Amino acid sequence: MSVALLLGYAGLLAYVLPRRLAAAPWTSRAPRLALGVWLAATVSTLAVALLAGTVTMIPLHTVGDTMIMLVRWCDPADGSPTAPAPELPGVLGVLGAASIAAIIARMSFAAVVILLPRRRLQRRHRNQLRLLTRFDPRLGVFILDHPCAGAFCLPGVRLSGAGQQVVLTAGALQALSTAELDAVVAHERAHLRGRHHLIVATFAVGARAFGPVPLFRTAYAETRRLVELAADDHATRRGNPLTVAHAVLRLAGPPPSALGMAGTAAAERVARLLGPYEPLGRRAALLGGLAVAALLAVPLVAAALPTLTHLGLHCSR
Amino acid sequence: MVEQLGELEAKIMNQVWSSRGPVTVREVLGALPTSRPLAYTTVMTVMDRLFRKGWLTRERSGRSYRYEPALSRGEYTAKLMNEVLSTTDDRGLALLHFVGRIEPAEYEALREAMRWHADRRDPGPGGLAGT
Repeated sequence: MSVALLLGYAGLLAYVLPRRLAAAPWTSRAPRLALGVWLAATVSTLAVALLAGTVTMIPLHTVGDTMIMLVRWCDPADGSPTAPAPELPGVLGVLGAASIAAIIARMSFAAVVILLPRRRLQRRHRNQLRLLTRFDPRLGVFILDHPCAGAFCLPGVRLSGAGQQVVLTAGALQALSTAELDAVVAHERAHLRGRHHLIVATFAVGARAFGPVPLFRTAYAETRRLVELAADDHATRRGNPLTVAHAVLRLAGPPPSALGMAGTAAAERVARLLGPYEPLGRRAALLGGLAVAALLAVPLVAAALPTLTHLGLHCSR
Repeated sequence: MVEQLGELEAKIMNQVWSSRGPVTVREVLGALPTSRPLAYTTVMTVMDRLFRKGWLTRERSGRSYRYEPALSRGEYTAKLMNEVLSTTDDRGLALLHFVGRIEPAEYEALREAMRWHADRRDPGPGGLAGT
């Protein structure tokens, strides 16, 4: 019974939420909050799925007991978690165990396949950039001597961000005004400060591990779009939206800057920067924050609920 | 220490790139602009490492080598730019670029919108810089 409920919840998040969230206009007005919601939804779905698998083998009560014992809020009556009735796992239990194993295996495999080459590539680029660029003290960035206008950033070696770089091409220096260059640099720095590479990589692992499930596939695509909007917002705060829009347009225009790849929603970014500034109201933002907290709390509450009700009857402090 | 070596690698590559034709370690040592005196063995070690990493090629010349860059600086730069901008996002490998491409029709439409916005605003200090 609890398995059905848990799976129902996970299914809702995995199959119903993605399309609605991706289409919701508020995400463009509060990209960072939207990122939080995607992350919370993903974590919540995975946690509940794993919990559902566990519950096919161990009663929910026992899971809750173990959790509470770890927290030691109140000693249960007999001092140890309720022992599960000894019985064979049955078909459901086997399925549950297999599901858990499959989830963990897919995640581990995806992590290896995505994160290792990524680190290797970044290291190689870092070495190449060290030899090919010169440092511009005024902008605080590295200049690559290439005629095509471009800008990108490379994350640091460690979480602290040591060794991170913002790179502009000589073509960009020529094509953009001073204010526009400042905007571009601010945008790239926002990526670095927000650890966006890490966020994107995390969702990439999720998409690789559970691609067929809409939640993970859509979350990855949305994340790439949302981090760009978040960085634009940061660049705008320090300058002028029109300047940022102009810089985007100049760098995205027809050749010679067309070395490029598609898919960073350049047109949407310009249109959004040109439009009126419409941040999310305080109440809506609060609601969003609560939604994130609720999503993260669901797996914990679901696991602890039977135990808590049981303790509620026993504990008399 | 690692950073200093990195700086030295960059200086040596710059020197080799700006030389015409193959160079020996001694020639590079002599031409390097350094604040502190460098040992021959240091430069030799770094150039050897650059060779092993594929940045330099070399030919025996007597008891030492004559080094040349494997690719010109421009060729390396072009390769890097190509790789950076065309790294597919499928595996989350992309460096975050500033921007991708806009289709020409959309580009024109946005330019029009931009011009309209710029005209509406006061052409004061906060206006569009250098159109």
